Amino acid sequence: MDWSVWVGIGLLGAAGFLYTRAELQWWAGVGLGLAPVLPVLLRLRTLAPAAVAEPLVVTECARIPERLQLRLMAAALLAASFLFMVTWLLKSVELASAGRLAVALLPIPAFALFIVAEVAVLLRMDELQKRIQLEALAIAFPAVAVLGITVEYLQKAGFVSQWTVGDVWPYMILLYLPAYVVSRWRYR
Amino acid sequence: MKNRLRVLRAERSWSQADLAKALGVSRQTVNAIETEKYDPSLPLAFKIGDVFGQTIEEIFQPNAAPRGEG
Repeated sequence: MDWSVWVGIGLLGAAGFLYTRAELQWWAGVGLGLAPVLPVLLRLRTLAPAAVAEPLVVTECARIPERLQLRLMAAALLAASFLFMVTWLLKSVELASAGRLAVALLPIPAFALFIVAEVAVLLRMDELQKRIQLEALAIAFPAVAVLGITVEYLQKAGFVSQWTVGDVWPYMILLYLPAYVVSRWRYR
Repeated sequence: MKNRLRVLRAERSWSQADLAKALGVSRQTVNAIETEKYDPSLPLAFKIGDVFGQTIEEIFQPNAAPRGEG
């Protein structure tokens, strides 16, 4: 599993982003979520087959127990399903103010579980795996900052109509994914 | 940083997975050290020394070693 867990979480985030921001059926959200990421992975596979195929394979002695990886994936799926559910509820069901507040806060426990599961996995990583994660974040974080600032000024200039704080986190995930693949590729 | 990890491992007929297991790291980490794409931390370098029964200096050398050495 290993790398596929992180890629899977990225794909879920991408799907969630598209689903929550467009009037789409769930399958369209998932499909469109996969679309921007697959070419990156396929391109890397073409450029350097060994980089993607061999080093990313599960290591026989990885220190991260598979149960923790499965728990992380399950927590990500749970969080994503809450995201879909809350989006659907807020869009489609007439609720009183208190009800809307309760629904809006529903995903918090699921995301808390995800964070706990993620930290458990991070703590079991060896030093190179931690460095790969750090480098991926070090690429994705400023990239998101640049993107956010650019879009903010485009908005002020009247070229972008909607840009809220809710638009930032999906781009973190979308940009983290290729950054992770690149970082992993460096230590192939 | 140069190292003799691959040679030492081959002398003992260990696979990368065997060494990784002994060190408590992933096989990718062993591979990255062997191919000199990653320099291990000091604690891991000491552990590598312990596993092979050698000092860090006997296993790792700086890239630009002084003439006459190595």
